[in-house]
Amino acid sequence: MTNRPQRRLPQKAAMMPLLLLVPILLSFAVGAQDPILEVGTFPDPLLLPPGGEATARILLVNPTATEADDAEVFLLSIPDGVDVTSVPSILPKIDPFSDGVLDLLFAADELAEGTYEASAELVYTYCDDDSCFEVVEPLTFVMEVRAGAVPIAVESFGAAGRGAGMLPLILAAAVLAAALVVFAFVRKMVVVVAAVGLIAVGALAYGVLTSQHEQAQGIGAVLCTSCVGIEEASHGEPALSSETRSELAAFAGPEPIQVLVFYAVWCHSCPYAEAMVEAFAAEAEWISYRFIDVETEPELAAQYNVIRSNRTVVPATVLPATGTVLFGVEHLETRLLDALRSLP
Amino acid sequence: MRLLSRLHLQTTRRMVQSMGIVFGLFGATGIGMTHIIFPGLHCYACPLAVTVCPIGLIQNLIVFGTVPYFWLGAIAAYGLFAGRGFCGWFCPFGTLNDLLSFRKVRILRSASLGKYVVLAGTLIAAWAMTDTLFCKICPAASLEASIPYLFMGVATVNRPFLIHMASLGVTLVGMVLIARFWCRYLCPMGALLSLFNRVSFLRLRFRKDACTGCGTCATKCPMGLEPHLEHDNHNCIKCGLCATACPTGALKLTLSLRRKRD
Repeated sequence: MTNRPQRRLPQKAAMMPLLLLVPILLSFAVGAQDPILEVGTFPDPLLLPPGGEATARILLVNPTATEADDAEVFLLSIPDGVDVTSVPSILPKIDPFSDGVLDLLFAADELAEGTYEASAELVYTYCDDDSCFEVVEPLTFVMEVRAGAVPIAVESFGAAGRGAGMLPLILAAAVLAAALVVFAFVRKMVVVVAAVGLIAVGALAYGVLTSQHEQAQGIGAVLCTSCVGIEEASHGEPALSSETRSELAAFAGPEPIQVLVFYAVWCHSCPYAEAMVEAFAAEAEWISYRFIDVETEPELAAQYNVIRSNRTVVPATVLPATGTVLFGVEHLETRLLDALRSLP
Repeated sequence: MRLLSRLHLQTTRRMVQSMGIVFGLFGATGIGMTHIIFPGLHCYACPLAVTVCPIGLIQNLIVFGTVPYFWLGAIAAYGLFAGRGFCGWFCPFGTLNDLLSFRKVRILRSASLGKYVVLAGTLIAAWAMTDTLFCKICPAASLEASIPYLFMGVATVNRPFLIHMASLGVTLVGMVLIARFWCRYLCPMGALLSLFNRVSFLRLRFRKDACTGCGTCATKCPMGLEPHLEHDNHNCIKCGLCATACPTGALKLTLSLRRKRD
């Protein structure tokens, strides 16, 4: 074999790790007084019958390492004949990398059929070092009042409203721009090595200071069945079959029972499992339910046996009366009905 | 590297690869999930995993819109230490590739850029779909999560399971036909670590004056490279098979802080 000319990657290729510096630098350019919460309102429009009630949910996602405080809704204009109550009236804090929920109960006591609009402001505060800021976000609710309208249960609205936002896209564009700068000016290998070392130490230290290592552990410790392809994600409102409804109605004088749904805020199928249990409870008064966030109440997850090999599996629907645990949402209606049949 | 020169290089590598498997399955001791990001492709959903998969984690962080400082720091630290050396020395899925490396062929070289496409696609899909799409077709997850959870009664044979099995099947066949098929063409973690290959402390050193151009090293390279011509290629997993085979000692695997020009 003869020697061919050396085919080396350009020296500039060694600079590629430096690109990782960009997101860190970029974070310093983010204005401190910018909104830090992602706000979603559900459902849209808000369906309610004349003289009836419906709940609008405001989902507040905090994707930052900064705590948000005192989130509160102030009504600006509401149609005459509508009464609005906020539950809770104020959210004292929303932790970093977590969610909060404010529910607005709309009571249309004296409202004729039609479409109405209500406007409000969401106000919250957060502090960055010694400076504190107040953020005001406008909110609009469209109410559709019509006879026979069935209000949508808002407990099912959680992580489905979550979005990635524009930050990753901005990061990608910044990485490309920085690549050109780095490739143009940095020549010495030792500078690259030193810079990569500094990035590693600095980013790790800052990540630990902002509890990102715990966030990573939390993601690894919870097994979301639809996230790794154990089952397909299910969204939306489940509709019970007529057979299920008639069978639930036929249960003669059963004892009241409780159904628990264990969820994580970032799990795609969990809202569906919650909505399914709500649908069962709507058909059978003897069923009560409770939704449990496995990341805030891990001890309950352990108590009710939804942990498999050190992974908390979500969504998990549990009947404490029999100890039955149903993982995932695939055929959940059938499986839950079977579990109820086996009640003593 | 004095230790490696005393022991046989490949024996040492097998020992380290075994440690990688033991570390990957350390949950068997009862330890739960830790804060550590694994320096390879190892599914965090694996019932015995105690570490977080870097590719799964970054997808979740993109979905959350979190600036991934901790993740960046870990990847930069791993990259600076060994670059793709983790593929050749530590990653359990890489070790599986190794065990099935029967045909060390030099084909489809340009397809090795496919791993960058997979990495970019994984990140873009996480952003655009707010979902961990790659995890649903990842062959490591097929092997380490889907199959175990089927036997644990958490998973069932459904469409996502069959997609996982198809992905695993194609990858295994690929591994048998082409050595290090997954690492060479498709692994997004390999793509990430390859960015650091030219600056890492673990590196392949080449002495041009000692090379006779016999090409023995090229016949041993599981990644289909010609190490005497491209010893700092982004695809080099620093397994040292070329260094072991080199009759003149022109190629040497070193672990050093010093930056010497070749």
